[in-house]
Amino acid sequence: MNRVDSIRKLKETLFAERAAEAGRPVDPTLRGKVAEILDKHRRRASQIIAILQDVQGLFKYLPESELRFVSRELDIPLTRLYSIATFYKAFRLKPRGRHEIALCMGTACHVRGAVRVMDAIIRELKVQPGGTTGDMRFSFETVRCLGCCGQAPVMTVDEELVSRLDHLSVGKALEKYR
Amino acid sequence: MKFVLNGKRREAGPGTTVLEAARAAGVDIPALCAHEALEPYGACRLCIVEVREKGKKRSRVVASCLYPVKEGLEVESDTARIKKLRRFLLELLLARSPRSPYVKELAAKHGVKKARFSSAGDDCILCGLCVRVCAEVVKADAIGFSERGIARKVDSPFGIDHSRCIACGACTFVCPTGAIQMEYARVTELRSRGGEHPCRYTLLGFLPDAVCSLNYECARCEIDQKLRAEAGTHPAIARALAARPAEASRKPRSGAKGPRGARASARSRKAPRKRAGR
Repeated sequence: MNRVDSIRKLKETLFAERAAEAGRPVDPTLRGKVAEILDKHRRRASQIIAILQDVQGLFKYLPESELRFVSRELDIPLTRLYSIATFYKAFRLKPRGRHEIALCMGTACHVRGAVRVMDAIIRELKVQPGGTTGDMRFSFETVRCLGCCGQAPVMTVDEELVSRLDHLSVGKALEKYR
Repeated sequence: MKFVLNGKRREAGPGTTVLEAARAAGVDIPALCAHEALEPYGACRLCIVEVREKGKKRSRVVASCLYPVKEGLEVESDTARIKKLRRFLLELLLARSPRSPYVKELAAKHGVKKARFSSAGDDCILCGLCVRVCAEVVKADAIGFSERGIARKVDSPFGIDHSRCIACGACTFVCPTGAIQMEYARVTELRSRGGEHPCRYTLLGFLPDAVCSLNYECARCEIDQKLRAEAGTHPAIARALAARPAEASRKPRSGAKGPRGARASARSRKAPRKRAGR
């Protein structure tokens, strides 16, 4: 290979190499589904938030590899996707646990002992708010009002509401999700 | 389009922004995030003016870099209200970036010496010049904003991925505060490839397949110095400027670095932008 060709080659690989490496799918079987999501939204760059929401629906978070895949397929710079993904709180870049706990810290729940419930969860699951347990079973988050103050203090585990909690019973309530 | 600027009747083509029209008329409006080679952005808000639309009673404060000239518009660029607001903005900028000579100078010019706010200790004022240069001029899209609110920052994806950076240095060049610096990691990576590496001006498309023989120490490089001297600015910016239709009436941005006489010598590779009225 002559000198000029080798430089050209280097120029090409400079960009491609790293992107390809990090673009390897977390789960190859789901890559097709991501492509389906793109097609569902007709591969429109303007639909990017809806697309990212659907991708997150698939993985519970936005894996770096899939962001790179979306970036490449829709020709949107990765910087753009990264800024969208970090701007909105709804998007997550870290893997989530199998079950998502959202503990209400609203006023009614607060006066009925939500803080103690929170402490109990932290102790019980060894996880801080916003974190995920080491065994990937639970992700724990605190939220503001869940809208059912009459049953305070409350939390949701995935889509289910767990109400009238206290710091003694919360561990038991979480048992069945283990 | 006829409008009134500081009591004087002026004219400007449709699609012209108030800032452009004012500068063409020789009226100095301070602006930090506006750059001739880039689309208007409206981040620094220093270019605020009072405008009153035809038939309206009240005037409004708007960012002149984004506000298009309208028929019968009345613009005041230096009222007491504007001065007060502008000084406040400069105080905020000064608190944000107390070490920047450029911000200090601008603040002093408007009578702001000290900010009453505690310093953020971060020189970046989030004007987005680096991000926009990277996207619009260099077309590398290597950096962008991440997070939001007080955590907002200029970042590469995932904080570490600089694979799209070609180390062209345009971002460090346009930065008004010196907050953005070339990460040595990227330069080292380009170096560590061993053997031959392309010159950054090759990656920008200025030189046909040039090989760097100086281990990416561009500050010591004759080619680098020569290209910069020729362009009078960062060569990529000069190219973007040259690609825009020439407009003799345009005045250089206050604090624009270097003479712009060499613009014509920069090769034009980009198609001219389509903008109304130009």
